[in-house]
Amino acid sequence: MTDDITPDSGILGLDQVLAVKRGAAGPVVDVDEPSVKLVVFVLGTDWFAFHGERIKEVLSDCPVYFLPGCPTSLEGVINVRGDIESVIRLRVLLRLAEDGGAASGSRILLGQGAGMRSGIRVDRVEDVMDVPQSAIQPPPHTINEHLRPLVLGIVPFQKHMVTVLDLERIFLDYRTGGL
Amino acid sequence: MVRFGAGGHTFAVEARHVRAMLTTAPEQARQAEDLLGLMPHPGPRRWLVMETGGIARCVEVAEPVRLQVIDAQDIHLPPPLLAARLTLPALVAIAFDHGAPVLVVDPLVLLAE
Repeated sequence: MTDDITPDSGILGLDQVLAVKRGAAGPVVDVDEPSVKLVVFVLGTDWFAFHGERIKEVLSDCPVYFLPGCPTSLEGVINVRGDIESVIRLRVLLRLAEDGGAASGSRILLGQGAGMRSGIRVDRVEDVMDVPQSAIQPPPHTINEHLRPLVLGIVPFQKHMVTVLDLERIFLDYRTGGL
Repeated sequence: MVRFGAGGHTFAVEARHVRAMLTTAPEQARQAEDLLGLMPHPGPRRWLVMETGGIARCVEVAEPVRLQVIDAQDIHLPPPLLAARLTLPALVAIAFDHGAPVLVVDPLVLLAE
């Protein structure tokens, strides 16, 4: 080692390095705190998530077969290794603005809840992450009235507020015509 | 199964309900598209004599009409959300034949007055 280690060389001492590291470490995470897995996805400019336990698979490049008599909220059916599943358009169910068709990075989440399984079309899957349960805050009062029953909470993620949706409620309400 | 076309889609009924196929229009027949709530597509037509509840009735369908065996493993119940919201009448199953969907309908429901 031939580096110049004189005090004026700009090289930090060990104490200084450790002090910087301590300062950058951030808050201590309680590893015993219960956490939930979230599948974070995007619809237009809005960020949403489902609980990870409700999402069995994320499908890409899966052909969707349109059936006559499908309402706009139903895209059709998919064949997942021999099982036929419906594909619902979450954007339509949540009454979000149309973006002129499925984006190239769009995915189908294979969701399961309330004894049902269905594909759910989303624009983009952003991440699958574990968050402490305490990080999920109650839904704000400003949330749209029609969304309120479907929202479990909100959680900050990558400078966005992610709305955590209740998949079971969505499936049940959709089946009974409430959505 | 007897496969037939209607409104640009492929449908099928269980073969035991079909007594005959006619190549010329009978005096009375109902269009499959009319029964299914679809728009008819241009093209050659055939007439299936279907027997439901002891009564024979003619249904006008689009070509191609084929008698076909479909493996039981390729016949599926409609998924629950689809079954709840689909407005297509009489759908009882969805079969997949070489990757394409075949909509299996119940003629008893389809032809119910």
